[in-house]
Amino acid sequence: MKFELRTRQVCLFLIAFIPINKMFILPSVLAKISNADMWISCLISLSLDLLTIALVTFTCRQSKTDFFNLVENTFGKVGSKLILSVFFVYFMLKAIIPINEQKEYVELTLYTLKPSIFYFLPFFPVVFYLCIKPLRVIGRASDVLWICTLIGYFVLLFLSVTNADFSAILPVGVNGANKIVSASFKGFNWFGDGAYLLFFIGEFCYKKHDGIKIVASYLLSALIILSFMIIFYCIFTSIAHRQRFAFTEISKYTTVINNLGRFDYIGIVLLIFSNTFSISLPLYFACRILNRIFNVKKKWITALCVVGVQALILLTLNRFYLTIENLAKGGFAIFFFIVGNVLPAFSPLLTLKKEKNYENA
Amino acid sequence: MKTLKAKIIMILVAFLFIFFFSNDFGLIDVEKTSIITAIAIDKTDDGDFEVTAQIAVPEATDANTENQKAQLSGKGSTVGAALKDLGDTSGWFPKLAFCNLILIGSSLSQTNVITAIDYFAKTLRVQDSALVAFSQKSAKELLEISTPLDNLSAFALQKILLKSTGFDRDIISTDVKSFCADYYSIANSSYMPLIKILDSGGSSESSGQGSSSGGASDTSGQSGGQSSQSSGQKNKENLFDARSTALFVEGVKVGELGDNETLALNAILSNINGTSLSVDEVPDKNGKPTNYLLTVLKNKRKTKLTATNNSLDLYIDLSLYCKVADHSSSNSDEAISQNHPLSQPLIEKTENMLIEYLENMMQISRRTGCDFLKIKEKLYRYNYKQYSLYKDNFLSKVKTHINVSVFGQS
Repeated sequence: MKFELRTRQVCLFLIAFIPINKMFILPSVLAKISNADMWISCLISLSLDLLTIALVTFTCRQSKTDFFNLVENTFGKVGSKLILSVFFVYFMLKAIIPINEQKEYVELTLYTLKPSIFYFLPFFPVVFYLCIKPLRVIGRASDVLWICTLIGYFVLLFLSVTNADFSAILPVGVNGANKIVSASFKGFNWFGDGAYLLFFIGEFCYKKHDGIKIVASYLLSALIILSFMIIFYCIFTSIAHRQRFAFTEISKYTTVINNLGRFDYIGIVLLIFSNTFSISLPLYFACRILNRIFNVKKKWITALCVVGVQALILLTLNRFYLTIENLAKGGFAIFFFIVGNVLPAFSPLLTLKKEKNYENA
Repeated sequence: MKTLKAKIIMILVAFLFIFFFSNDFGLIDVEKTSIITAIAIDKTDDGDFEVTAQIAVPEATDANTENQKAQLSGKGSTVGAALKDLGDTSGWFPKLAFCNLILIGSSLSQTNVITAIDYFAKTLRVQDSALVAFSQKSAKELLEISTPLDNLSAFALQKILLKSTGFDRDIISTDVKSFCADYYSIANSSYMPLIKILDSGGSSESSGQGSSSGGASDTSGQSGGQSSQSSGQKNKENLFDARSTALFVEGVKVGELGDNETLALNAILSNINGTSLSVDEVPDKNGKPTNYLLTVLKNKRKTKLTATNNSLDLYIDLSLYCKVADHSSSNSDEAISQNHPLSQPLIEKTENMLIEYLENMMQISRRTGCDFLKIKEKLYRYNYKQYSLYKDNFLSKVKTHINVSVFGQS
């Protein structure tokens, strides 16, 4: 059997792409609800994702085939198409907020005046190109971009940690379980990363201890996210919820920045670069699902549809972005939780039914 | 077929590049951009904000090394509106990315200053790491006066407010972010340096070149171009003193900390290595009263709050390792060059002096109600069980235990 990915690439995928999209507006979203306990809300979501990823990794160990075949084997052709359609909708919805975040961030920080929305259009051909490529391209991108993510993160960390007042997160849990859980609930759009891992089932050769490596990689990713959240709150304390774009803000209060200028943008640009791929992922997997549902051989057709719809959403619904964001944080959050966490958590059940011999099929 | 495909891709890429670069990254013609180095905010009699911007005028010449400046004012019901007014009437786009100083005029002392400062914390146009300071007079006046330190008074003020390592740390440094964070914190108390104007005793001759001021609300219709000084006119030169601190509760100015209390506050809030302490009238080895100047080489500080149902105690521990930098004794000795041990009378006098400063500082905190030591925040963070018991009367209930130890080479 030919594998598209290596275990190393799956591990690096988790480090390169999982932490970044949580560093834009998510910290302020959490801080608005659970204030100093925002890190607990984040920890809850990360723990749920860890559980999901551990279970999906277990599925990877048990399975001899990919996710699509597993679903078809268990639920039949019609049933599998229905389930895949749910994932397709999930990925299409999941992509909207992060793409808008990146667009808004670039507009506000790199442009003096608000540019026309067309400046962001070149992003879509990049996604289109990515969407027509096989899964190994994601693996190769992970091989390269994990270093960008880590360098970017450490640049910001070293510049900001000295300004953090770590007592700001005390007393722990004083905001009440209600607010902590509510913040965690509203952040589900940014989590649910176990769903990506479903599509890696059967795509890499699972060897002994690979599960530990994958879970350890996610733990490192979770540590990056959690430390970022804590440092962010400890720098801004009572005004944390007002800092919409967290990672452009946290590093600028260092004396060295005052003296030398904003060289922290080196780290920021590296993170934005990785994020370009990170925000493309939902669309990439949406394309793969669509190819499978309609059995499309010419991948560019589905890629064009998926990317076109997303571009259209960006162009036409820009005015209603706040409503979309509120929907993602409100009513749709439960959908994100179910599809991003609950369904992947049940993936080991897919391996219970005896698999067909797909290799010979 | 392949060539056609490649051509289509090339055309598409070129088309997209046009989109990407059509905006020139939003850059504005430098001729139409005003680089604002400092902003002064005052309140007019009719309740509007008057924003004065000090603008650096870059000149493409090697002949003149001095910074040229212009000053413009705008009025509006909000700070943002006043800035807009300034841009409308001058034709310049007010670029705030290099604005590192925001001055608040005394006319705002009776109103909530957050209405003036919050704009800078909300907008991404200005860095919220910009310093904020309170002017004893009008903020506009601070920008207008002439100083021998720099042609741009804003740059001179920044030199005073932003001290590097090794400089005297006797000035409180506050930026937009920390002021707003303190204002919105549980203590509602904040502070910023208070700037007083001193007469330097000198005068300068104004060339009239480049230095201009004007008001957007100028009834003559001249906006921003009116020369404030005629050529050859002598200007009185001034210096700035920022060693006092203005205190705010819920954004309203409630009092001030003097030079000594500001030094004491700095000593317990930050590292004051390199700061000088003047200790006068200490007997030397012959018993003659001598004045000493000590330099702090290292300081350790700890502020701890303990709360029980019966008591609220604040422990302030300050430990300073000092050396004699100068003295007025007529005896010739090698004490200064060799960092000799400090004499016991000198140690005692310094300790008592610092205890007095710290006690005065606490008294001012009680009197004004300004919790600049963040006692309420400490109560909330470390003693949450007693928080409801003391949250309304912590300043009157708190007992302060001050322990200062000064030591030198042994």
